[in-house]
Amino acid sequence: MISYHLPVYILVLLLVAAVLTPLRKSAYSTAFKLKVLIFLGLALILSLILFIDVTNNQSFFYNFGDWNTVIGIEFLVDGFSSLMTFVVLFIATLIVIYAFGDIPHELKPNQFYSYYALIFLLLFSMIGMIFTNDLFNLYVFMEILSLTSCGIISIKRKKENLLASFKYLMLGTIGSVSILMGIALIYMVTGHLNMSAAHETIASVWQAYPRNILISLGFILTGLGIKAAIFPLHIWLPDAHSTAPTPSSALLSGLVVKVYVFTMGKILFRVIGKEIVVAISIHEFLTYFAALSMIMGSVFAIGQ
Amino acid sequence: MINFSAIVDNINYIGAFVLFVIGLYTVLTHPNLLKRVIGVNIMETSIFLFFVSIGYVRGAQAPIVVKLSGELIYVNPLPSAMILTGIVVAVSITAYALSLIIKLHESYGTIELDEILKKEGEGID
Repeated sequence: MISYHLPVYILVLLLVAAVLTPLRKSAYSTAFKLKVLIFLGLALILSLILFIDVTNNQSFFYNFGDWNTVIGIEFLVDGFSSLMTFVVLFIATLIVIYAFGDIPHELKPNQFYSYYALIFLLLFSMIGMIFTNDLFNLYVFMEILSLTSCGIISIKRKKENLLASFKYLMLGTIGSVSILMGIALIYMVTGHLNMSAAHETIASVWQAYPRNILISLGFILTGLGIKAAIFPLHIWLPDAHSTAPTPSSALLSGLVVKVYVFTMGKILFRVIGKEIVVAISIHEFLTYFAALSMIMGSVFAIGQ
Repeated sequence: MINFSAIVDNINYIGAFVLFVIGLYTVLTHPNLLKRVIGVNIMETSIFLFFVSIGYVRGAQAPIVVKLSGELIYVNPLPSAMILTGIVVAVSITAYALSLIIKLHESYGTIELDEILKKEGEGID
Protein backbone atom coordinates (compact mmCIF):
# COMPACT_ATOMS: atom_id res chain seq x y z
CA MET A 1 0.00 0.00 0.00
CA ILE A 2 1.49 3.32 -1.08
CA SER A 3 -0.52 5.73 1.00
CA TYR A 4 -3.51 5.44 3.22
CA HIS A 5 -4.40 9.11 2.62
CA LEU A 6 -4.60 9.14 -1.19
CA PRO A 7 -8.42 9.62 -1.49
CA VAL A 8 -8.26 12.63 0.82
CA TYR A 9 -5.32 14.06 -1.13
CA ILE A 10 -7.44 13.97 -4.29
CA LEU A 11 -10.32 15.80 -2.58
CA VAL A 12 -8.06 18.39 -0.95
CA LEU A 13 -6.24 19.02 -4.24
CA LEU A 14 -9.54 19.72 -6.03
CA LEU A 15 -10.80 21.94 -3.19
CA VAL A 16 -7.55 23.94 -3.12
CA ALA A 17 -7.75 24.33 -6.89
CA ALA A 18 -11.34 25.58 -6.60
CA VAL A 19 -10.29 28.22 -4.08
CA LEU A 20 -7.08 29.29 -5.85
CA THR A 21 -8.44 29.49 -9.41
CA PRO A 22 -10.65 32.60 -9.13
CA LEU A 23 -8.07 34.57 -7.13
CA ARG A 24 -6.00 35.79 -10.05
CA LYS A 25 -7.76 38.21 -12.37
CA SER A 26 -5.05 38.42 -15.04
CA ALA A 27 -5.54 37.66 -18.71
CA TYR A 28 -6.85 34.26 -19.81
CA SER A 29 -3.32 33.11 -20.52
CA THR A 30 -1.51 29.86 -21.32
CA ALA A 31 -0.02 29.89 -17.82
CA PHE A 32 -3.51 29.80 -16.32
CA LYS A 33 -4.59 26.93 -18.57
CA LEU A 34 -1.41 25.07 -17.64
CA LYS A 35 -2.15 25.59 -13.93
CA VAL A 36 -5.66 24.16 -14.26
CA LEU A 37 -4.28 21.20 -16.22
CA ILE A 38 -1.56 20.56 -13.62
CA PHE A 39 -4.14 20.42 -10.82
CA LEU A 40 -6.39 18.08 -12.80
CA GLY A 41 -3.50 15.95 -14.02
CA LEU A 42 -2.14 15.52 -10.50
CA ALA A 43 -5.57 14.42 -9.28
CA LEU A 44 -5.84 12.06 -12.26
CA ILE A 45 -2.41 10.50 -11.54
CA LEU A 46 -3.26 10.12 -7.86
CA SER A 47 -6.55 8.42 -8.71
CA LEU A 48 -4.77 6.07 -11.14
CA ILE A 49 -2.21 5.16 -8.45
CA LEU A 50 -5.07 4.60 -6.00
CA PHE A 51 -6.93 2.39 -8.47
CA ILE A 52 -3.86 0.22 -9.21
CA ASP A 53 -3.06 0.04 -5.52
CA VAL A 54 -6.59 -1.01 -4.54
CA THR A 55 -6.86 -3.64 -7.28
CA ASN A 56 -3.47 -5.15 -6.35
CA ASN A 57 -3.89 -5.07 -2.60
CA GLN A 58 -7.30 -4.70 -1.02
CA SER A 59 -10.05 -2.20 -0.38
CA PHE A 60 -9.89 -0.21 2.86
CA PHE A 61 -11.85 2.15 5.08
CA TYR A 62 -10.57 5.64 5.80
CA ASN A 63 -11.69 7.16 9.12
CA PHE A 64 -11.48 10.93 9.41
CA GLY A 65 -9.66 12.10 12.52
CA ASP A 66 -9.31 8.47 13.67
CA TRP A 67 -12.74 8.49 15.26
CA ASN A 68 -14.35 5.08 15.55
CA THR A 69 -16.60 4.08 12.67
CA VAL A 70 -19.92 4.56 14.46
CA ILE A 71 -19.28 8.21 15.35
CA GLY A 72 -16.97 9.51 12.65
CA ILE A 73 -17.22 10.06 8.92
CA GLU A 74 -15.81 7.20 6.90
CA PHE A 75 -14.66 6.67 3.31
CA LEU A 76 -14.86 3.26 1.68
CA VAL A 77 -12.17 2.88 -0.99
CA ASP A 78 -12.79 -0.27 -3.00
CA GLY A 79 -12.25 -1.28 -6.60
CA PHE A 80 -15.51 0.16 -7.86
CA SER A 81 -15.24 3.57 -6.22
CA SER A 82 -11.59 4.05 -7.17
CA LEU A 83 -12.36 3.05 -10.78
CA MET A 84 -15.29 5.52 -10.85
CA THR A 85 -13.00 8.28 -9.52
CA PHE A 86 -10.47 7.58 -12.26
CA VAL A 87 -13.16 7.60 -14.96
CA VAL A 88 -14.74 10.83 -13.64
CA LEU A 89 -11.39 12.63 -13.52
CA PHE A 90 -10.31 11.31 -16.94
CA ILE A 91 -13.50 12.46 -18.69
CA ALA A 92 -13.39 15.77 -16.79
CA THR A 93 -9.82 16.36 -17.99
CA LEU A 94 -10.87 15.83 -21.60
CA ILE A 95 -13.85 18.17 -21.14
CA VAL A 96 -11.67 20.87 -19.56
CA ILE A 97 -9.19 20.67 -22.46
CA TYR A 98 -12.14 21.18 -24.80
CA ALA A 99 -13.45 24.02 -22.61
CA PHE A 100 -10.20 26.03 -23.01
CA GLY A 101 -11.07 26.64 -26.64
CA ASP A 102 -14.84 26.79 -26.27
CA ILE A 103 -15.42 28.97 -23.19
CA PRO A 104 -14.25 32.30 -24.78
CA HIS A 105 -17.10 31.96 -27.31
CA GLU A 106 -19.76 31.40 -24.68
CA LEU A 107 -18.96 33.50 -21.60
CA LYS A 108 -17.81 37.02 -20.76
CA PRO A 109 -14.06 37.28 -19.96
CA ASN A 110 -14.63 38.12 -16.28
CA GLN A 111 -16.52 34.85 -15.76
CA PHE A 112 -13.79 32.45 -16.97
CA TYR A 113 -12.13 32.06 -13.59
CA SER A 114 -15.33 31.46 -11.64
CA TYR A 115 -16.34 28.89 -14.25
CA TYR A 116 -13.25 26.79 -13.56
CA ALA A 117 -13.77 27.21 -9.81
CA LEU A 118 -17.28 25.80 -10.25
CA ILE A 119 -15.94 22.87 -12.29
CA PHE A 120 -13.41 22.02 -9.56
CA LEU A 121 -16.11 22.20 -6.87
CA LEU A 122 -18.34 19.97 -9.04
CA LEU A 123 -15.58 17.35 -9.34
CA PHE A 124 -14.84 17.63 -5.62
CA SER A 125 -18.43 16.91 -4.65
CA MET A 126 -18.80 14.08 -7.17
CA ILE A 127 -15.70 12.29 -5.90
CA GLY A 128 -16.84 12.84 -2.32
CA MET A 129 -20.18 11.23 -3.18
CA ILE A 130 -18.40 8.27 -4.76
CA PHE A 131 -16.07 7.61 -1.81
CA THR A 132 -18.26 8.37 1.18
CA ASN A 133 -19.62 5.64 3.43
CA ASP A 134 -21.78 7.92 5.55
CA LEU A 135 -25.39 8.76 4.74
CA PHE A 136 -25.47 12.35 5.96
CA ASN A 137 -22.10 13.10 4.39
CA LEU A 138 -23.61 11.80 1.14
CA TYR A 139 -26.45 14.32 1.49
CA VAL A 140 -24.05 17.24 2.07
CA PHE A 141 -21.93 16.34 -0.99
CA MET A 142 -25.15 15.95 -2.99
CA GLU A 143 -26.25 19.48 -2.09
CA ILE A 144 -22.87 20.91 -3.14
CA LEU A 145 -23.22 19.00 -6.42
CA SER A 146 -26.76 20.22 -7.10
CA LEU A 147 -25.85 23.87 -6.37
CA THR A 148 -22.70 23.83 -8.52
CA SER A 149 -24.40 22.04 -11.39
CA CYS A 150 -27.10 24.74 -11.35
CA GLY A 151 -24.28 27.27 -11.25
CA ILE A 152 -22.59 26.01 -14.42
CA ILE A 153 -25.92 26.28 -16.25
CA SER A 154 -26.89 29.76 -15.09
CA ILE A 155 -23.38 31.23 -15.53
CA LYS A 156 -24.32 32.01 -19.15
CA ARG A 157 -26.71 34.83 -18.27
CA LYS A 158 -29.32 34.34 -20.97
CA LYS A 159 -33.05 34.29 -20.22
CA GLU A 160 -33.49 30.61 -21.09
CA ASN A 161 -30.53 29.60 -18.92
CA LEU A 162 -31.96 31.38 -15.89
CA LEU A 163 -35.36 29.76 -16.35
CA ALA A 164 -33.86 26.31 -16.95
CA SER A 165 -31.58 26.49 -13.93
CA PHE A 166 -34.44 27.74 -11.73
CA LYS A 167 -36.50 24.70 -12.79
CA TYR A 168 -33.51 22.43 -12.18
CA LEU A 169 -32.89 24.00 -8.76
CA MET A 170 -36.50 23.56 -7.63
CA LEU A 171 -36.79 19.94 -8.82
CA GLY A 172 -33.31 19.12 -7.55
CA THR A 173 -34.23 20.49 -4.14
CA ILE A 174 -37.39 18.36 -4.07
CA GLY A 175 -35.15 15.40 -4.91
CA SER A 176 -32.59 16.05 -2.21
CA VAL A 177 -35.29 16.77 0.37
CA SER A 178 -36.90 13.39 -0.39
CA ILE A 179 -33.50 11.72 -0.08
CA LEU A 180 -33.00 13.37 3.31
CA MET A 181 -36.44 12.11 4.38
CA GLY A 182 -35.42 8.59 3.36
CA ILE A 183 -32.15 8.92 5.27
CA ALA A 184 -34.13 10.08 8.32
CA LEU A 185 -36.34 6.98 8.08
CA ILE A 186 -33.30 4.69 7.83
CA TYR A 187 -31.75 6.50 10.80
CA MET A 188 -35.02 5.97 12.69
CA VAL A 189 -34.81 2.19 12.20
CA THR A 190 -31.09 1.66 12.65
CA GLY A 191 -29.71 4.53 14.70
CA HIS A 192 -26.65 4.58 12.43
CA LEU A 193 -25.59 6.89 9.65
CA ASN A 194 -22.59 4.77 8.71
CA MET A 195 -23.58 2.63 5.72
CA SER A 196 -21.90 -0.60 6.87
CA ALA A 197 -23.32 -0.34 10.40
CA ALA A 198 -26.78 0.52 9.03
CA HIS A 199 -26.58 -2.48 6.69
CA GLU A 200 -25.81 -4.85 9.56
CA THR A 201 -28.71 -3.52 11.64
CA ILE A 202 -31.17 -3.57 8.74
CA ALA A 203 -30.24 -7.16 7.84
CA SER A 204 -31.16 -8.30 11.33
CA VAL A 205 -34.28 -6.20 12.03
CA TRP A 206 -35.95 -5.58 8.66
CA GLN A 207 -38.68 -8.13 9.33
CA ALA A 208 -39.80 -6.02 12.28
CA TYR A 209 -39.92 -2.69 10.37
CA PRO A 210 -40.84 -3.54 6.75
CA ARG A 211 -42.93 -0.39 6.35
CA ASN A 212 -40.14 2.00 7.36
CA ILE A 213 -37.68 0.37 4.96
CA LEU A 214 -40.20 0.41 2.11
CA ILE A 215 -41.16 4.08 2.62
CA SER A 216 -37.56 5.20 2.99
CA LEU A 217 -36.58 3.31 -0.19
CA GLY A 218 -39.50 4.97 -1.96
CA PHE A 219 -38.33 8.43 -0.91
CA ILE A 220 -34.68 7.76 -1.76
CA LEU A 221 -35.38 6.19 -5.15
CA THR A 222 -37.79 9.00 -6.09
CA GLY A 223 -35.25 11.63 -5.10
CA LEU A 224 -32.40 9.97 -6.95
CA GLY A 225 -34.75 9.34 -9.88
CA ILE A 226 -35.46 13.08 -10.14
CA LYS A 227 -31.75 13.85 -10.02
CA ALA A 228 -30.76 11.10 -12.47
CA ALA A 229 -33.70 12.05 -14.79
CA ILE A 230 -35.33 8.63 -15.03
CA PHE A 231 -38.32 8.71 -17.40
CA PRO A 232 -41.39 10.17 -15.63
CA LEU A 233 -39.19 12.55 -13.62
CA HIS A 234 -37.03 13.85 -16.48
CA ILE A 235 -38.83 17.13 -17.29
CA TRP A 236 -36.03 19.43 -16.11
CA LEU A 237 -33.33 17.76 -18.20
CA PRO A 238 -33.95 18.82 -21.84
CA ASP A 239 -34.04 22.57 -21.03
CA ALA A 240 -31.13 22.48 -18.62
CA HIS A 241 -28.79 20.44 -20.80
CA SER A 242 -29.55 22.13 -24.10
CA THR A 243 -29.27 25.75 -22.93
CA ALA A 244 -26.10 25.26 -20.87
CA PRO A 245 -22.65 26.14 -22.27
CA THR A 246 -21.28 23.15 -24.24
CA PRO A 247 -18.65 21.99 -21.67
CA SER A 248 -21.25 22.19 -18.86
CA SER A 249 -23.65 20.16 -20.96
CA ALA A 250 -20.97 17.50 -21.45
CA LEU A 251 -20.19 17.47 -17.72
CA LEU A 252 -23.87 17.28 -16.75
CA SER A 253 -24.98 14.50 -19.05
CA GLY A 254 -21.66 12.65 -19.00
CA LEU A 255 -20.85 12.62 -15.31
CA VAL A 256 -23.36 14.22 -12.93
CA VAL A 257 -26.33 12.07 -13.93
CA LYS A 258 -24.23 8.89 -13.72
CA VAL A 259 -22.94 9.67 -10.24
CA TYR A 260 -26.55 9.67 -9.01
CA VAL A 261 -27.11 6.26 -10.59
CA PHE A 262 -23.95 5.03 -8.84
CA THR A 263 -25.31 6.42 -5.57
CA MET A 264 -28.56 4.55 -6.18
CA GLY A 265 -26.63 1.28 -6.49
CA LYS A 266 -24.64 2.13 -3.40
CA ILE A 267 -27.78 2.68 -1.31
CA LEU A 268 -29.53 -0.41 -2.67
CA PHE A 269 -26.65 -2.82 -2.17
CA ARG A 270 -24.51 -1.35 0.61
CA VAL A 271 -27.23 0.01 2.90
CA ILE A 272 -30.36 -2.03 2.22
CA GLY A 273 -28.65 -5.22 1.11
CA LYS A 274 -29.15 -7.57 -1.81
CA GLU A 275 -31.52 -10.00 -0.04
CA ILE A 276 -34.05 -7.29 0.87
CA VAL A 277 -33.85 -5.67 -2.58
CA VAL A 278 -34.62 -9.02 -4.19
CA ALA A 279 -37.28 -9.89 -1.59
CA ILE A 280 -39.33 -6.75 -2.30
CA SER A 281 -38.41 -6.98 -6.02
CA ILE A 282 -37.09 -3.44 -6.46
CA HIS A 283 -34.72 -4.61 -9.19
CA GLU A 284 -37.69 -5.53 -11.40
CA PHE A 285 -39.27 -2.09 -11.08
CA LEU A 286 -35.94 -0.41 -11.79
CA THR A 287 -35.58 -2.53 -14.93
CA TYR A 288 -39.07 -1.51 -16.11
CA PHE A 289 -38.31 2.18 -15.55
CA ALA A 290 -34.96 1.87 -17.34
CA ALA A 291 -36.61 0.22 -20.35
CA LEU A 292 -39.37 2.83 -20.31
CA SER A 293 -36.79 5.67 -20.23
CA MET A 294 -34.96 4.22 -23.24
CA ILE A 295 -38.13 3.75 -25.28
CA MET A 296 -39.77 7.06 -24.35
CA GLY A 297 -36.52 8.95 -25.01
CA SER A 298 -36.50 7.63 -28.59
CA VAL A 299 -40.23 8.38 -28.98
CA PHE A 300 -39.77 12.01 -27.91
CA ALA A 301 -36.73 12.30 -30.18
CA ILE A 302 -38.86 11.20 -33.16
CA GLY A 303 -41.53 13.69 -32.11
CA GLN A 304 -39.03 16.56 -32.28
CA MET B 1 -63.09 4.17 15.62
CA ILE B 2 -60.01 6.36 15.42
CA ASN B 3 -57.32 5.73 17.98
CA PHE B 4 -56.83 9.28 19.26
CA SER B 5 -54.02 8.54 21.67
CA ALA B 6 -51.87 7.18 18.81
CA ILE B 7 -52.47 10.40 16.86
CA VAL B 8 -51.62 12.59 19.84
CA ASP B 9 -48.47 10.58 20.60
CA ASN B 10 -47.18 10.84 17.04
CA ILE B 11 -48.44 14.35 16.29
CA ASN B 12 -44.96 15.65 15.33
CA TYR B 13 -44.47 12.89 12.71
CA ILE B 14 -47.94 13.51 11.27
CA GLY B 15 -47.28 17.25 11.27
CA ALA B 16 -44.00 16.72 9.46
CA PHE B 17 -45.66 14.72 6.66
CA VAL B 18 -48.56 17.21 6.36
CA LEU B 19 -46.04 20.05 6.00
CA PHE B 20 -44.08 17.99 3.45
CA VAL B 21 -47.16 17.53 1.28
CA ILE B 22 -48.19 21.20 1.60
CA GLY B 23 -44.70 22.27 0.53
CA LEU B 24 -44.60 19.80 -2.37
CA TYR B 25 -48.01 20.98 -3.63
CA THR B 26 -46.89 24.62 -3.48
CA VAL B 27 -43.62 23.96 -5.34
CA LEU B 28 -45.25 21.98 -8.11
CA THR B 29 -48.40 24.00 -8.75
CA HIS B 30 -47.97 27.65 -7.75
CA PRO B 31 -47.27 29.99 -10.67
CA ASN B 32 -45.48 32.60 -8.54
CA LEU B 33 -41.75 31.86 -8.36
CA LEU B 34 -41.29 33.43 -4.91
CA LYS B 35 -44.05 31.25 -3.50
CA ARG B 36 -42.32 28.20 -5.01
CA VAL B 37 -39.21 29.11 -3.01
CA ILE B 38 -41.42 29.41 0.08
CA GLY B 39 -42.80 25.93 -0.71
CA VAL B 40 -39.29 24.48 -0.84
CA ASN B 41 -38.58 26.06 2.52
CA ILE B 42 -41.74 24.52 4.00
CA MET B 43 -40.59 21.09 2.74
CA GLU B 44 -37.16 21.52 4.28
CA THR B 45 -38.69 22.65 7.58
CA SER B 46 -40.84 19.51 7.64
CA ILE B 47 -37.69 17.37 7.35
CA PHE B 48 -36.05 19.31 10.17
CA LEU B 49 -39.09 18.69 12.37
CA PHE B 50 -39.02 14.99 11.47
CA PHE B 51 -35.30 14.63 12.15
CA VAL B 52 -35.45 16.38 15.53
CA SER B 53 -38.48 14.29 16.56
CA ILE B 54 -36.46 11.10 15.95
CA GLY B 55 -33.90 12.14 18.55
CA TYR B 56 -36.46 13.04 21.20
CA VAL B 57 -36.90 10.66 24.11
CA ARG B 58 -39.93 11.19 26.34
CA GLY B 59 -39.00 12.25 29.84
CA ALA B 60 -35.27 12.53 29.10
CA GLN B 61 -32.88 15.33 29.99
CA ALA B 62 -30.98 17.69 27.71
CA PRO B 63 -27.68 15.98 26.77
CA ILE B 64 -25.41 17.93 29.11
CA VAL B 65 -23.65 15.29 31.18
CA VAL B 66 -23.04 16.35 34.78
CA LYS B 67 -21.13 13.92 36.99
CA LEU B 68 -23.07 12.38 39.86
CA SER B 69 -26.39 13.90 38.74
CA GLY B 70 -27.86 10.40 38.63
CA GLU B 71 -29.51 11.05 35.25
CA LEU B 72 -29.51 7.98 33.01
CA ILE B 73 -31.55 8.94 29.92
CA TYR B 74 -30.56 11.78 27.62
CA VAL B 75 -32.10 13.13 24.41
CA ASN B 76 -30.12 12.07 21.30
CA PRO B 77 -28.16 15.21 20.30
CA LEU B 78 -26.94 13.90 16.92
CA PRO B 79 -30.08 14.72 14.83
CA SER B 80 -30.11 18.31 16.13
CA ALA B 81 -26.45 18.69 15.16
CA MET B 82 -27.17 17.34 11.68
CA ILE B 83 -30.12 19.68 11.28
CA LEU B 84 -27.77 22.64 11.81
CA THR B 85 -26.00 21.54 8.62
CA GLY B 86 -29.38 21.09 6.96
CA ILE B 87 -30.41 24.66 7.85
CA VAL B 88 -27.19 26.01 6.33
CA VAL B 89 -27.88 24.10 3.11
CA ALA B 90 -31.50 25.35 3.04
CA VAL B 91 -30.38 28.96 3.45
CA SER B 92 -27.84 28.67 0.63
CA ILE B 93 -30.42 27.16 -1.71
CA THR B 94 -32.89 29.93 -0.84
CA ALA B 95 -30.25 32.62 -1.46
CA TYR B 96 -29.34 31.14 -4.85
CA ALA B 97 -33.01 30.77 -5.88
CA LEU B 98 -33.78 34.38 -4.85
CA SER B 99 -30.81 35.69 -6.86
CA LEU B 100 -32.07 33.73 -9.89
CA ILE B 101 -35.54 35.27 -9.38
CA ILE B 102 -34.03 38.78 -9.38
CA LYS B 103 -32.26 38.02 -12.69
CA LEU B 104 -35.48 36.54 -14.12
CA HIS B 105 -37.40 39.66 -13.11
CA GLU B 106 -34.79 41.84 -14.81
CA SER B 107 -35.09 39.96 -18.09
CA TYR B 108 -38.85 39.17 -18.19
CA GLY B 109 -40.38 41.92 -16.02
CA THR B 110 -42.52 39.46 -14.08
CA ILE B 111 -42.16 36.57 -11.62
CA GLU B 112 -45.36 34.74 -12.58
CA LEU B 113 -44.39 31.52 -14.37
CA ASP B 114 -47.41 31.47 -16.71
CA GLU B 115 -46.69 35.03 -17.93
CA ILE B 116 -43.01 34.13 -18.43
CA LEU B 117 -43.99 31.10 -20.51
CA LYS B 118 -46.43 33.26 -22.53
CA LYS B 119 -43.65 35.78 -23.30
CA GLU B 120 -41.31 32.91 -24.19
CA GLY B 121 -43.93 31.62 -26.67
CA GLU B 122 -44.30 35.08 -28.27
CA GLY B 123 -40.54 35.31 -28.65
CA ILE B 124 -40.40 32.09 -30.67
CA ASP B 125 -43.25 33.04 -33.03
